[in-house]
Amino acid sequence: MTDPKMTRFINRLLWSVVTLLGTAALTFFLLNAVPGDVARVIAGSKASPEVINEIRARYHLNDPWWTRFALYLGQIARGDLGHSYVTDQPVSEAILTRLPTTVALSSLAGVMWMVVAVPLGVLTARFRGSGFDRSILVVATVSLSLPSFWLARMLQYWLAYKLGWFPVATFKSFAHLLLPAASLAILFVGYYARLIHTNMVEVLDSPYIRAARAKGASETRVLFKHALRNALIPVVTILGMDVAAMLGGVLFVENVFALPGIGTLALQSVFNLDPPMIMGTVLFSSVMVVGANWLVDLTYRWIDPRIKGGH
Amino acid sequence: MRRVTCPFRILAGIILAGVLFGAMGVAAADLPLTNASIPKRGGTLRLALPSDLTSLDPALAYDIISAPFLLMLYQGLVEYDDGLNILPSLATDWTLSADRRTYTFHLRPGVRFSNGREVTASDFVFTLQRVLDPKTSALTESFFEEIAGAKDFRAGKAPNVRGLRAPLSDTLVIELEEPDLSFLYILTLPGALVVPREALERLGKSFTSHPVGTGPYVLKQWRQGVKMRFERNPLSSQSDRQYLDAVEVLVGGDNTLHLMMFERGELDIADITQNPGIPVPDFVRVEHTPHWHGLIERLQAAGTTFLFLNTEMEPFDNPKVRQAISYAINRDKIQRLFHGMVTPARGFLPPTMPGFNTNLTGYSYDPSKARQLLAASGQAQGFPCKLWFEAGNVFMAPIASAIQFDLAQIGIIAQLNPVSLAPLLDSIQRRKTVQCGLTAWYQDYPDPSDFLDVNFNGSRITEEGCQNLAFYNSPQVDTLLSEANACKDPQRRLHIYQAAEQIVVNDAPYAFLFHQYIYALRQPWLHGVQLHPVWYFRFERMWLDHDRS
Repeated sequence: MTDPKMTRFINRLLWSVVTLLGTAALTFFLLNAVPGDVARVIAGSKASPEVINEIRARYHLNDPWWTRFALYLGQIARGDLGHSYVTDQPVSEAILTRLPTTVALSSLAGVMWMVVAVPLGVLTARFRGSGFDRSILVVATVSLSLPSFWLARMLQYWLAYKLGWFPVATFKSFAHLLLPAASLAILFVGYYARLIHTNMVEVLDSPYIRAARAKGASETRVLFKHALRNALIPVVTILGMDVAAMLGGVLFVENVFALPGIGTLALQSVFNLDPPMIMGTVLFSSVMVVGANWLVDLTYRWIDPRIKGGH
Repeated sequence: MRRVTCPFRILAGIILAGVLFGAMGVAAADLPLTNASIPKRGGTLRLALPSDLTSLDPALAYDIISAPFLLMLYQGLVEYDDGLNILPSLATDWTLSADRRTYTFHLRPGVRFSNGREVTASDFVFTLQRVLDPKTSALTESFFEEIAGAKDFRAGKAPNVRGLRAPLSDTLVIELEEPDLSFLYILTLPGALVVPREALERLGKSFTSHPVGTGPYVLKQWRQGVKMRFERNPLSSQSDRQYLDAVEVLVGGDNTLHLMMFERGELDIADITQNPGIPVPDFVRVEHTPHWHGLIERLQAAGTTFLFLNTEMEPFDNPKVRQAISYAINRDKIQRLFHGMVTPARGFLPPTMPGFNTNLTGYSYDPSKARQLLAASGQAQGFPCKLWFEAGNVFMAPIASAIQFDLAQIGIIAQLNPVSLAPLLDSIQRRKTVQCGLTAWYQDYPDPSDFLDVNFNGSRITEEGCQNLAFYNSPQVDTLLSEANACKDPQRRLHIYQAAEQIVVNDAPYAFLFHQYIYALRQPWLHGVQLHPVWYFRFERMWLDHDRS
């Protein structure tokens, strides 16, 4: 008899591989559907037809799509994402060089949004219907409506350029990350504050919370130990899905602040029409999203022990 | 440097680039000092580029962003002075044979690569042969094909290029198939910058990020997509021209962001050219800010933006239709649109180009004459057409709209067709594919042949990859171009080119629109900024002096 846990794990693993392969295939075919000669873009408009042909041959651009797709899959299987057509840099090296910036930015943004969203969600639930609750609702709704690239540019313009409180751009120190991380965090704070608020309101009406209060537990203990843990379960699920949204935001914010991360790499490779780099960054982002979902699954089991038992 | 469908798309970081020429024998004290009088050594120049350089291998990089950095790292046989005159660089002198086909260069003694080895004539043979080698896929290869034996070598019919010889370690002989008065200009191109064989063999592909040259600076660090740092080359023979300790290049962000960083004092120099990135209001604001008065450098770029009309496709096969279009376009309006950052063009050659004809008869804005010409061509009711230009190019889009409006006044309904760069290049250079489109041409070197011969010589028309975007074929022009190529007298040669240009203007295969200016904004403590007509920036001539802000 097979272990159901193992079966679920293998199932999950297979689906993750299928997801990644599907992403790789989709990106490959979409890039192939883009009209125009990549070799001409690499060579420039003044290059001779001979040079263009040499470049086509070097990058197998004259081969049929199935040959190139097979080559690409073979490369991926070997863990090789290829070389940039534009700079000749190995794609994996380019991604790894930029990864620390993106991780630092995302982590700081995550910390910022949780540090603000959790207390706001809890307190607005505790004081629901008050002026404080209503004003936070307005602020949250506004923050939800702001596009990341606009918000980033505004913060940069007013707080860095006009007032000089922060560096305008690039990444040289922790201070350079504050505004970009805040731009990302603000987008999520409103949403998560409301999500936590809603869950908390539901949880605070539960009998076990009433029981905790009846036992004489302090309000802080009731809110943050007993209620919050349960209120966070749906939040963690959404959090996993929001990793993809976060990566989208990172793409814009990194470009606005000229941060050397995966987002700027992805956008530059699109502008340069650099297929290996585009495919590499998309595939890497997919790995991140799949990985985040695995992580959420694990966290979910930790927060809600019922899941461990398969209930 | 190359045809840029978005003019100065390639200039997208241009202003952040510099050129290091080693004009031998020119001492620091002799340098033209534009922004202050006494150069000072020390300091790090900070600038920014919107995106990474493609390569620092001179064979593999040929764009206006990379070229100035290449010229910080490498040197060639010759170089430009402050203007367009050719000076010796690693050559002390040269002679030209009586049949004007063979150049003999004598090299400066004691010049060393940054790896410590002395440069010899065989390094130049290796460098030029490498550019011609099909395995290299060098982007400037076509310019060097006129060297004797180059075509046989490329075709695999000869193991070496016959026209490249190093009879002595300090003597280089270059033999051409045919005489070419512009060959010395060609030797200023990046492909002719000398590289050491052993470094290339040892480093392979990574030579591009570990360059070895003879220039006054070396690449100390290149974190791709992040930053580059150039520092003084201790082995450089130009130690008296290395004012700056280092040049630090931040990579990323657009030109608007760079301007913000500049205004906060985070950069020493910024590109404020409208194309590609600075919005007109920002430019006007900077221009009218008293603090920046006297700190804006301006240069007329050697390029021309134009509307090409495919002479092989109806209705543009009729010269009257083409002339009507040239009369219908209001160039002054475009100039106003860009707040004077462009100047209307009457012909193809830009004002900085030798042979620029001040007496050229161009086209004034005359819609009624345009309508008459359309009527005379049998197109009195006008016609629809599709106007191609590069999508996402903030510079071309308003021009396209302005032209669309002007053409509508004479009954021509132009449908705007923005297309991304790859398919645009593919289509416009393919025969009988694109009716008309907007693009620009910038010089490779300051010779009219680089404009007229490439764009209007009927014998150069090819089925695809054609630079003659109008597929214009005039036997009269072809004859004049051949005559100019063969002409020994430089002055008469320019007159022949002028005659050819006048015929082209009359036939109107291109509606010439304008020549652009480029602008740089410098901090008050940055001195020696002088825009160069070919390479725009020459960082080796700049210095920092915070006491003279």
